[in-house]
Amino acid sequence: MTPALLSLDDISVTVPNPPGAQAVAGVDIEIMPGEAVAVVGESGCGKTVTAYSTLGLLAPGLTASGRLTFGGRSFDLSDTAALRNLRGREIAMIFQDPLTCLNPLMPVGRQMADVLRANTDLDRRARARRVVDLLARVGIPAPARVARAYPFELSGGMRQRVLIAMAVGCQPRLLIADEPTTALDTTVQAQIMELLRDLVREQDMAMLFISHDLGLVAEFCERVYVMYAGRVVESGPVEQVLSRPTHPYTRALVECLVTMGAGSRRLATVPGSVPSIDAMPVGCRFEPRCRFAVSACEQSDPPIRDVPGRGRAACLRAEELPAPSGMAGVRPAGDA
Amino acid sequence: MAEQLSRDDAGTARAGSRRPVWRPPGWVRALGSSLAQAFVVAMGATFVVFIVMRLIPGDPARILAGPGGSVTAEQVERTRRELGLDQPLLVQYWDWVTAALRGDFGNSLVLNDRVSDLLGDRLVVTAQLSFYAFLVAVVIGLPASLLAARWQGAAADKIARLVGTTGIAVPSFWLALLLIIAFQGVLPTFGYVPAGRELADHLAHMFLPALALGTGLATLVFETNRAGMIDTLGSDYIRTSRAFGVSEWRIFSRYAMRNAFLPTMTIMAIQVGTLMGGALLVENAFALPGMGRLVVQGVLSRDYPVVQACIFVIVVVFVVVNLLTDLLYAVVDPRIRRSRA
Repeated sequence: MTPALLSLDDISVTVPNPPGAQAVAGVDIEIMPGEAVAVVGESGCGKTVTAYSTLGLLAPGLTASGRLTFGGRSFDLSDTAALRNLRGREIAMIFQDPLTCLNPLMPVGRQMADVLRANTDLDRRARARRVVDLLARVGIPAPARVARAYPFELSGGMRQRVLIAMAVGCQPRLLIADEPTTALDTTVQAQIMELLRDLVREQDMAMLFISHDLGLVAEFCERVYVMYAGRVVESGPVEQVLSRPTHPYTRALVECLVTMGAGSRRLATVPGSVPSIDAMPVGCRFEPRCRFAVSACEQSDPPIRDVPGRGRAACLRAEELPAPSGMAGVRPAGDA
Repeated sequence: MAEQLSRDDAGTARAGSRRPVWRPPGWVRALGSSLAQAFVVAMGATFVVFIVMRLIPGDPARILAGPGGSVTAEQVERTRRELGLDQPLLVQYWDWVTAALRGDFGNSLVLNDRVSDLLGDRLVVTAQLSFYAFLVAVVIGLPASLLAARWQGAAADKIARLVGTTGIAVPSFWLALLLIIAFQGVLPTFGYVPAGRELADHLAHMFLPALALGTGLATLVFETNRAGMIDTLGSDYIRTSRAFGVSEWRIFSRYAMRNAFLPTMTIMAIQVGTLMGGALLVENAFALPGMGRLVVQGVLSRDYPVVQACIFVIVVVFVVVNLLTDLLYAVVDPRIRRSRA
């Protein structure tokens, strides 16, 4: 078996208030070279914080612990200075809101050139040429003109393409995409996702795709990690996790999907809300909202483990739960 | 989306035929509206001062006509006519403004001298003092704000903020008195030496006044720019640059400093008026022969033309500085420079 490109080992992120509370608690994630892996979960589950911690980009006050291994090199996540060496050349990241993510007072071409300056040996003129090439590569018409444009002069989709071009210019081995299409129209969303998929294949990049859109995950990723309240509660191949979910939280998520032709049924919801960071249950974090919960679930938080024939899940009752109703029409990413 | 842009390309190429009416570019219209606004502000401010001066109790005609009980009502009335003070206010204002725009501020009611002659040298002193105070503010405030933002939360940052908050609260004339007491015998605390005669001596005499006047603005520049820097350094686009491996130094010096400076620039421009107002008080404390003494005497003796001329100068400086800031903004901020809306 080939070694993982990135492996996150027992990642925790501690917030300043209340003291000792954890936004992410003991998360393990592995990504193989060239693999597209998704992390899904609702807002505040810790998926973005996990991604930021891998590049040492956490907001002041947040501290990360755990180990990160990338291409054979091992890092302590609390050592943000060392993690800087990974930025750009090894791991590039694109973000949710492409407007606020670009410097409003600088032409986008110059921002891209600055990134190239930090990550390549190209001289000034070569960088300028490369900027135009990269913009053309991500499907921007009139790339030379767009390079001179300011962010406010471009549409949301164009701005996201600029960020993607910036990422591709670093030729990273891993691209972290933090909800890259959430701020975009649905039609643009599909174009951006297809662009990302093409680039990942062409450049032989791996992708960590952070999303709450199970539809996109099903279509574009091979494996998925489901996070809830700072923990990974289930992981496995996308097809298996979404069509035969094991953990009650994943089941609930999948059942909430709106399917065409479902008629005028009431939309399904998960009762209750995510526990607040300063009032985490002692036992399983999903227990208060879980319809399968038994008294044992309140005693201790179950670790994630292999469930025979069903991937990995963090649920005491994983084996005994009734067969789930999965997501209809899920295909493995390879078939697309 | 690709389609949209190519259509847009074609649209620009055909712009001539589709939009035959020439529309001035954004910056020309920005300049036009800034100029118009500046003019309105200058007229409004001088008008208010004109009216307020006349609402202050005390009649210059009575003061000028002679002392106490020896003056008859007719004498006072004649003086009033001679001074043009019997005209309606609006007529008086109009006469004054049209003359002022030609550089003629009339004669002093008290000192028997042309106001423009009285102003001349004093204006130079006040301008020098304001300029030095501005330099003090920039030289102290800006570097301190950058250091404090870089090492945010460190002991030095906390001390700087404490000094800053205190500095904003301290009135300049009070600080002037403190400095005079503290530096008595160390630095000149009294009088003025022209720059042309002995530059070192000139600067020595201006140092304490400039410090007294500039400290308030320095702390304001410090607070504004520090907050702007911290805000910018925490922004999404700085995070993007970090995520792509751009060095921390480059981010600080090329991205954050420039972006944070925009609001600071606005504050500095707005404060220029306050600075000149403060200069009048500080001049009195240090016995500098600037406009300050002239204004105080003018107000006390109801010498309308002198006070009006001084205020006029301050208003014009204020308006011109703000106009320049607007233009500078358009140069620095592409969202204004390139807007076609």
